[in-house]
Order: sequence, then C-alpha cells, then structure tokens
Amino acid sequence: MNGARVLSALAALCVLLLPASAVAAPAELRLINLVQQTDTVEVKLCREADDACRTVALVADAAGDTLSLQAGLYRFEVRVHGHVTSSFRYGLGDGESYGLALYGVYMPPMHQNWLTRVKTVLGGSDRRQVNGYQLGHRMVTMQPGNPSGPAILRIANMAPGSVQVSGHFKSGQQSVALAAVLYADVGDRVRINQRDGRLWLRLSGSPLALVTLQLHLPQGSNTIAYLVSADPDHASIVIDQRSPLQATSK
Amino acid sequence: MNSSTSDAGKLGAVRVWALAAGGMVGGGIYVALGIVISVAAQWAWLSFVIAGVVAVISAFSYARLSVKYGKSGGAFEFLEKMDRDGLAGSLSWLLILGYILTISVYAYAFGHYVAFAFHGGGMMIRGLALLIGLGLVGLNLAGLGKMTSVEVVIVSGNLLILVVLAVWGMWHWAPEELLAGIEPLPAWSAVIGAAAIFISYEGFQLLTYEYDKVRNAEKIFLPVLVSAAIFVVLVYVAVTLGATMLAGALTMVEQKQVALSVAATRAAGLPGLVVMTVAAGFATAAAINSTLYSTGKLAARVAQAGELPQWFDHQNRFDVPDRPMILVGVIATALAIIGSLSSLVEASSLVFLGTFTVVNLICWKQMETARWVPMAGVVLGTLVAIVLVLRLMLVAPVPLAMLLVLAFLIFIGRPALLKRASTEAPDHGDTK
Repeated sequence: MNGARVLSALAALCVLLLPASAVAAPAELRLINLVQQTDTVEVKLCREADDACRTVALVADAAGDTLSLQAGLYRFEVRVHGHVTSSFRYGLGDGESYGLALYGVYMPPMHQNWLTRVKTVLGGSDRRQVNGYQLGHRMVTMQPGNPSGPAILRIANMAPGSVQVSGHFKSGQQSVALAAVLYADVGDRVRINQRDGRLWLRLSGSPLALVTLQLHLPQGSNTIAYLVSADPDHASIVIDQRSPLQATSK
Repeated sequence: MNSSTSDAGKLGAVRVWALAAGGMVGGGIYVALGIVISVAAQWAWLSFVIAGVVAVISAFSYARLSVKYGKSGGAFEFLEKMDRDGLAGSLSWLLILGYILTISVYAYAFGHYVAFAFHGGGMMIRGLALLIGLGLVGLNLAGLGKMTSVEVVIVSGNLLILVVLAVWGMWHWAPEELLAGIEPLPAWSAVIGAAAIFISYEGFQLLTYEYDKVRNAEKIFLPVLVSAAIFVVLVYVAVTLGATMLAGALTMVEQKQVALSVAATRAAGLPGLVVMTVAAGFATAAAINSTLYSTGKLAARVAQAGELPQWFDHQNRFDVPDRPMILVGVIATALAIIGSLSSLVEASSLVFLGTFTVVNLICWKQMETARWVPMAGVVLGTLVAIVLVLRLMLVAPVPLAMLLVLAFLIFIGRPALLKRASTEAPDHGDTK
C-alpha cells in the first residue's frame, strides 16, 4: 500500500527529528524608550500564567537592559509620571529575542474628568494623543543569525513629524540602500557583508542626510536603527543590536 | 453519456484528486500564512477552517454543476446553460481578472522564495518573477503548457513536504509560539483572516475546465473534489500550527513573503531551506502554469461565445490561444513586480469569493436535493466577502477602489465595449 509507506516514512522522519525540539530557553526582551517629551517611562510587565510582575524604568531615547523572561503571555502597562498611558499584551516564545519599542509623543493630562478617573480605577488606560502621534508600541524579533553569516540591518522610523525615512549603509566604496519606511514602521531586513561602515538616514525627498552614525555590524548580528526625531537639531538614532556571540547592545 | 467510448488517456480518480488538492496547495499557502497570522493572530488556524468551509461547499457546488451539465468550463458554462449569457460573460471577465491576480501572487511568491535561498535582494526577486512569468508564457506558447503527469508529481511532492513540515512542527508542540511576539486577538478576527486568504483555496476549480478529460467523471468528480478540499483544509490547519510552532508567530509575520522557508530553516537548517525552496519553486511554477493554461483556454472559449472581443480567439500553430495567454502573462508579471503582497492576495481573494458565491447560488437554483448546502455557501461566502470589503476599505482603499471600478466596468461597461469592438458572436448551437 502506497499510503502505508508514506505514513511509515512520515513517522520515521518525525522520530529522527524529535531531539531537535527538546530544549527550551528563556525569551530575551529589550524595551526601548523612544517616547518624546518625557524623560522617563515605567513599564510594568506581568506574566499572565502566574501574575509574576516586574517594573522597569527606562530613560529617554535609549534601549534598556535585556530581560530574560519565561515564555508565555505577558501584560504590559506603560506609565509616564504615574499616569497609565497604555496597556497591552504580547506573547513571548521560548528562546526568542525581541525588541519592544515604545514611541510617540507624551502629553501630560491637563484635566482628569470623572470618566478618566473611573477608567484608571477599572484598569483602563488614559489614552491621549498629540497631533495624531499617540503613544504606540512595536515588537520586533531580534534573533541573531549564523555567526559566520552576513549581518542583518533594518531601519525603523519612530520620528513624529516624519512621513518617510530612507537611508543607506556605506562602507568604503560600497553602499547598500535601505528602502523608505513610513512613520511607526520597521523596514525590510537587509543583509550586510561589511563589518564597519556609516549609516546615513534622510527624510524621503530630501537630498541631505538627517543624521549619520558609525556602525559596527558583527557577523550574524541583528541590528535595528531607530530614528527618534525628525528635527534636524535633535535627530538621533537609537541602536538595538544582538550578536550571536554577545547579547549586549550599544 | 458516452464516457466509455474514449477512456484511454483520461485522468483517473487518484490523479484528479492529486491535481485538485495540489492545485489548491500550489501557491497560496506559501504567501498566505504570514498574512493570516498578522490578521488573526492565534486564530489563524480557525481562519483556514472558516475559509475552508466555504471552499468545500463551493467544491460541492462546482462538482454537482459540472456533473449536471457534463461539460468542461466551470462557472462560464454553468451560466451559459442557464441562458444567462450576459452574466456568464461578465463573470468570466471577473474570473480572468482573478486569475491574473492569482498568477501575480504566485510569481511574487516564486521570486521571494527562490531569492531568499540565494540571499538575493529586490532586483533578484523582480528578475525571478519576470523570468518565471514570461518563461511559462513562452513554454505554453510552444505547446508545452499542459503536462499533467509532471504536474501530478510536482503537486504530490509539494503536498508531502508540507505535511512533513506540519507534522514536524506539531510534534514539537509549543502552543505559546502561536502568540510569540504578537498581541492576542479575539476569536472573531478569524473571520477577517479567512477573508484575507481565501485565494489559498481557489485552485480546485481549475479542474472543472478539465472535466471532460476525467474518466468516469459522473461518479468520481463530486467525491474526489470534495474530499480533496477537505484534505487541504486539514493540511492548511496543520501547516499553520506546525510552521508557527517552529518559527514563532512574529517571525512568520515579519518574513511573511518567505514564511515557510523560515520555518523549514528553523526546523532543519540548510537542508530544510533547500527542500522548502525546491518545493515552493516547483509548486508556484506549476500553479502559474496551470492557471495560465486554463485562463488562455477560458478566454478563447469566452471569445468564441462573443463575450470577449474576437481578437482573443486566435490560436498559434500549436493550437494555443496565444493572444490571451500573452496578455494575461504580461499583466500578471507586471503586477508581481510592482504590487504589494497583501493587496494582491486580498484583491484576488475578493474576486474568488464573489465567483464562488455566484456558483453556489447557481447550484442552489439548479439542484433539487441538498439545496441547503449551496445556500450555506452563499450565506457564509457573502458574510466573508462583506468582511473583506470592510477590511480593504480601511487598510487598502486604493486597490479596493480599483477593483470595484474594474468590476463596475465589467458588469456595466462590458456590453458597450463589446458592441464598440464590433464583436459578432458566431451562431453556436447552444447560443440562447
């Protein structure tokens, strides 16, 4: 019977592959604070399975320490100066590396009416927005690649006021283009074979660089360059980099 | 009925089943998985079940109508037999539009999967899409388009590889990966997911164009088509769960263009990547080829009935309808090069949801037994189509507007266009 042969082959394949699925490792999460008009942000994260919580304080325009967390579903609560600005949930997978960027413009609540107080008491969030740039969050995978393979580079546009940001990575005579990225979005993965070079970011349509940064991209590393502000005087880039050999960021 | 007169060389039940199941799995799943996870999160598998129910019912309706009329040709023939020539013409135009979008999705998938294996960038992806689109047009023009035995081998191999990936992933059983890196969504988002990826199930209806090549079709067509559709629903659910458990949900979303290659690489490293690239390359190429071949034949048939300009009814020295094939191939390839994945997939899903709902309606009107089955297809298909229109209004208003304008032109402007093109339908025996 052909069917029986196919089933036997499938079963044999699965038995051979079983050892590959045995080991579980904690998830790694790095929180990145790109929220404008506030110095610090506090994030409380609780694992839903056992309600184990921890709170992390993040300084502005920087990536926090890498958190090692058990896989599962987590509840996140973002607070600025004691006010809950947003709450959301994400799942974290075994052995995965993630970056969670918090972005947008914070506006202190000018007046709390009874409804917002009730919402806060009930665990709701007091969502406010400034010119449409309300606080948001974006999770990305940051799994490093093969230690002997090319580096991965992406750009993320978290600069309120910008429409599209594009760029290129220049190393010696070679230049690799990084396609335009809309606000609150993350660009495609680009493979880079050069170890050192300079990242140039510019607003789409402008011939001038908004900001540049010297980058070191170890083999197999996974890097995201977050553009924080489109203001030429304050434009800066926050880097989150995970390397297969060392799990620290710049 | 004269099926016994020339049964030699006809397709038997096993080959028809393989072509139906393989035709569905041929290209859609390679690009649909990341999209459905981004829309339905942990309920992606349920999206495939919901879309699958509509597909199974539609397979039932297609098969019953094919058996009733005993003729190849699908929805166009069904409507012609019902004396609804105008509607048949409009629907066939809409179907041709759907096939163009489908071919573009498959060419897009081919370019991405093959380029991913070679670390290629945008230029290589476009070059590969161009190569496969125009290459298969050339192959068809040379009369080498329909090689059923080759197709059966390709689709069977593809099915086997996907089943292995699915079993492998589910063996690893890690339900937390279904939400890894993404936000959980409510169960009703599965309906939105179902709407977005309906294209994954369109393949079975290409077999209705081959009905007269099926041995003992009156007996086997219905059970074969329906069982193949049910099997594919199970495969899609298993692949969704298995591949996501291997790679994690966010990885599938971030790399949706090559989601299955990423899952296979996670599972088995380089050998996994090679096997999945070969499977994806051959499966998408076979899907482009069979869709192109069927579209060319459909366009020529519709032109013969006077529902397309006579210009389309032209055959080259290999008896291939060359003009429609070139036109369809070139437009589809161009769309694959310039289009975005989600808008191509969702626009073609809408076209096929519309077509299948019409076929279910025809079946409901024409059949005397088990009429509740096609009616359930009409209700469910309409519901899913409405959800998809609402979603496209929010996330892709421009492609939706273009599609609606084209549909409007097809249903309203087509008669005037045909008149202007001075098309004169030849007086076929069955013209009403």
